[in-house]
Amino acid sequence: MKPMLRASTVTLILLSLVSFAHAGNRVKATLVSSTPAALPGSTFDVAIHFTIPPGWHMYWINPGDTGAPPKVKWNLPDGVTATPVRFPAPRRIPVGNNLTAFGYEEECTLLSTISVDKNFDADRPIDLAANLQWVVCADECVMEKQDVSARIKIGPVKPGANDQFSIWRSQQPQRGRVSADDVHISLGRPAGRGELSVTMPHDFESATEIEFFPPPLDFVVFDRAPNLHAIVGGMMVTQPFRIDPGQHPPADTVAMLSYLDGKKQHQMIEVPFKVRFGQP
Amino acid sequence: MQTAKIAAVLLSLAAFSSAWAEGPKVGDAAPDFSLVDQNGKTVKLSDFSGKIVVLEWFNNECPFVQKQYKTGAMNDLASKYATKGVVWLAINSTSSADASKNAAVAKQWNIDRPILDDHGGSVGRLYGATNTPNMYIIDAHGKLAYRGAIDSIRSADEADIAKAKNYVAAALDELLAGKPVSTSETQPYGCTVKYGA
Repeated sequence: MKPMLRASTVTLILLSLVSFAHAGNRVKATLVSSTPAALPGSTFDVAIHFTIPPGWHMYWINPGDTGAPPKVKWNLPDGVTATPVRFPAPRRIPVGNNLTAFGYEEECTLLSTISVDKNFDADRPIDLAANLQWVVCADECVMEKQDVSARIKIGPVKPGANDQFSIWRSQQPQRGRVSADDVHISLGRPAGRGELSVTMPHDFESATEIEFFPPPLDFVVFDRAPNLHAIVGGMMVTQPFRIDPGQHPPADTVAMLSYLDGKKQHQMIEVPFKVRFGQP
Repeated sequence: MQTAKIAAVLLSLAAFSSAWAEGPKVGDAAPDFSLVDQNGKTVKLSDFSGKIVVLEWFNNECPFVQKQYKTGAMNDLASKYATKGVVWLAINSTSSADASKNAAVAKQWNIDRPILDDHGGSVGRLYGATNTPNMYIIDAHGKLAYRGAIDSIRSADEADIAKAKNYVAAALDELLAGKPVSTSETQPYGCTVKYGA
């Protein structure tokens, strides 16, 4: 009985989806809601799911040596807002000539949280739409576009209605585990260089294969290996970087810390990268 | 009293995206080369001694290059600085390209400046060009004055051109005013250069 109910719920969600795939696109995108219904005053998650054909890849917020991240332009009814999309944890993808991209193969799922104002007119469904634009590369690169949409009925939120979301959430990096207080960025000693230092708990001592994915700043280059130090009360991992010359705007973005923990489980932690660059 | 361990452990060397820094550095003499343009004419860098020269790594099949041409932005930029005596050379190091294909795209995209055929990739590798577009500026003394991206927004979206800082325009303005280039290196973005084996 229960599996049948769940199957019918999933069918309802799928029926509520409409997407306008551009003919000839290599990547297919869908907008998927975590709940078939929502009430004014509620919040719920949606996913923009990209299916990437074998041999092709898409990009993280910092695409690395090639490419560009997907862009999402929401078209939402009055009283409905979406948070900026949250990217899944990237991986390194060799792209030839000793170059590396940061991104995704097979699939990529961006998450966003939708908020419905308490005064939203409950006589009509919540129609979500977005214009998507992305670059996908194999040996060649192509830019593709697609409009996606989803209709959410008025009714109580059913947060567990779509099992896919537990998988998609597990693909996200850990956020909030490293706060701004755990991060120190020093600049200019020596000139043209900086260091990102992150304080981690003592059990980070057993971490291996530690590496950072750099923030999406075209003048900050993580050009050396990170270092790990024991400090009072914990561990500190330090990533040196080069700052290319020029006048640079303040940065308020993120880097990504990747490592294997003591149980050899791969961990990805989002690290705030907020800094005001001085004069060259 | 507990003494903190201060042993630094050098971690496994990660794969860094530093390959783009190969080739001449800013301030180095720009290596000379000789290539054939879309009309079959041989073009040497040394032909333009005493002039500011822009090198633009080009591949018409790359969406990041298409963004600059479909909007007319790259042609406008080259034309603007041509009137100030700046030489602008596009270089196509795509292994499948040749002079006739470069001629076809020059006609299609109204490109009136040389597109040089480097399908063997030797000049691209000499300069360490990694991306299309990947921009280099050589000053009037033959020294490399800028290498990197065309602009500050890594995107294939035409709408971003107007919002971005154009690093090439900024560097050319400074050079033409006799000033040092303040942003002389950036990380290029775009497609990878499609070198042959």
